[in-house]
Amino acid sequence: MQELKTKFADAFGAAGLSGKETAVIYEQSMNSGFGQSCRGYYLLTMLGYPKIKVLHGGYDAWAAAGLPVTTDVPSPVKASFSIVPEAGDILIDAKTMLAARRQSPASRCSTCATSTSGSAKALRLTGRISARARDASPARSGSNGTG
Amino acid sequence: MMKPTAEGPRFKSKNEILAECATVGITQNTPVYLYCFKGARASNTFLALKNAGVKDVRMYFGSWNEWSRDPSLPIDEGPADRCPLNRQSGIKRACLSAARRNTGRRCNLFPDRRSGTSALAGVTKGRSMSTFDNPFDADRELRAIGLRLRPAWHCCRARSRERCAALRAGRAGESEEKRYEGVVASAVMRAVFPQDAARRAFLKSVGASTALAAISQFFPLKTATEVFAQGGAPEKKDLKVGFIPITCATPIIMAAPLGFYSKHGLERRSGEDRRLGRDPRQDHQQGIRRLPHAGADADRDLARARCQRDPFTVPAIENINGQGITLAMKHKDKRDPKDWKGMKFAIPFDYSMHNYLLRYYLAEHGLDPDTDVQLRSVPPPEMVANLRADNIDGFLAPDNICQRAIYDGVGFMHILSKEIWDGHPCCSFAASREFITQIAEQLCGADAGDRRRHRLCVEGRRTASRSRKRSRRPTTSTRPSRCWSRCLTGTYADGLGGVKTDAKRVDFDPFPGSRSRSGC
Repeated sequence: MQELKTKFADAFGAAGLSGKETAVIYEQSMNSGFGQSCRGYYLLTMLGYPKIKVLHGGYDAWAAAGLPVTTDVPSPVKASFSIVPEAGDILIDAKTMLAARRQSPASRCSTCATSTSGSAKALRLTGRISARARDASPARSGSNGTG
Repeated sequence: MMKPTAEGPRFKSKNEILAECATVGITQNTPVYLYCFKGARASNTFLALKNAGVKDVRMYFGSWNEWSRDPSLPIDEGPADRCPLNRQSGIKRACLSAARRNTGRRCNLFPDRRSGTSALAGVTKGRSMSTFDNPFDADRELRAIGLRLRPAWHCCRARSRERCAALRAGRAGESEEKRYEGVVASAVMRAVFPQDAARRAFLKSVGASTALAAISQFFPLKTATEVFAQGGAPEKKDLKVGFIPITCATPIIMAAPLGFYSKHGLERRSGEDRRLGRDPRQDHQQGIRRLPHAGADADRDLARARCQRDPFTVPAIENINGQGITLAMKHKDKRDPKDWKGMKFAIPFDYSMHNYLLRYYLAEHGLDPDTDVQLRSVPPPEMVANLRADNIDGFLAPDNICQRAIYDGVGFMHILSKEIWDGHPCCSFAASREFITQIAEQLCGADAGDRRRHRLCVEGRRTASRSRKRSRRPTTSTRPSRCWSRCLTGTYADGLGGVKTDAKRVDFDPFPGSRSRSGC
């Protein structure tokens, strides 16, 4: 896990993040990449990066608002930031899930069986309170497995 | 957590997200563990929950991608026959059996146009009458009956054996056949004239024999009498019941898993009408009776033609309440119907309860439903998409369609039909007249099951919602179980950030308006 964290921290550091900057993550639109920007948000949160934002609506929203764009390729200055170990608590493993499930097996499984297609998704693991994320555009995309 | 907007998908507002969470018991202080397939969509939810102020959100990043590869980890599956892996073959089997058995009788569930009309005219409660009195005696009062829809043969059957025995003892001189005839005719008269005054006036004006002849014209008195006299076990044990997967169909769906039919020696094979919006000609070739719900003109004509050839009767009402007016999000400030001039609304079809309720509601607020707004027939499964595409401004639809629009963030619940008319009849259980006269005994048996189911639905909503979720999931994959449970439990997000609780959002009463006599 530490190895992975270092790998991600290095990648973000290479993009110029030193901990002082506000990291703004964006993608094309909010559903084209199945929440890629949110995934970046999650990873940085897990590493303990202090200031993170997601551009709501992505590049499409930016462009629609008529805000300036450029085709120049930025050349960020390599930087680095320190990983906060406690921030990693937001990531849990199968063991924790299993423990939560055992702790109160009969409790509610809140949002299981959403409308996504694919056999695996219709099965469920009943967590203590486990919210099952769903597609921004349910079942239409046909891009199973990108989640 | 996301909703479509004109500019593309966006996060729902903080309040909307908290409302969604509240419907499943998550508050800002609840620890939440998220998972999806491999973490991206869960990340999306992570951000949404964090933004909404949920304090302890964590994610199982391995998600299904990891969990499903480890056979030692437990997975809850639905019942074996409902497992998605078996789904395809299951559907195929159902289609095959439908095609093979197209000569058999079939019952369909659809929102009842008759209940719509008569109900709007007012639930008519008659005065006291007795099954065994002469129904063609203008001076005698017949006993109370609820809706005029109440089937005659049901009442016949509903008499207890003791009453029958007492009757036999009391009228020993009369032939048995004659007595039964009287019982059946009395029930028919009650059904036709729920108001005693009307019956008496009718009898006085035309005379008893003319009245009997007139009644016999449209009700097979003789056959029904024979059936009533025979009694005994059902002949045809294998029933096929079609339904549309909306909350109204809960009693039909729940009957099988709860074992009510097996109790009565019946086997009812419920089959969701999966053919909505498909090619009607193909169905016609296969001999499948399409439901009026299907929407397209051709379908309705076909359904009408078939109904004319083979008239339908309504043994019981499936449910009461259970509809709602949903408006597009852009109209969230237009909560006064007076501002709805020029708007387009969708209704399931022209003769549905939905249409009547919407018209009533509009008219009540001073709008002319014919000229001030546009009403379009749209198959309910397509309503949400139409709302999203801005083709319509709102709809009055059966439940789970309304909730689906809220779930998708494209609409909000303006008003429940319950608030327009509490206890209005909604969908009905219908069967062809031919079917009833042939195997009335069987339906009577089924009817007992119906009533128990209804009672169960009322008493154990949560359980019903859960079992339904379990048993229906694969075939209603386009309608998330959350929508179902919200409709059935009555705790739901209204689409505007609020959570409402109304246990009677949909309710079950086979004979609305005659509740006190439901033990009949």
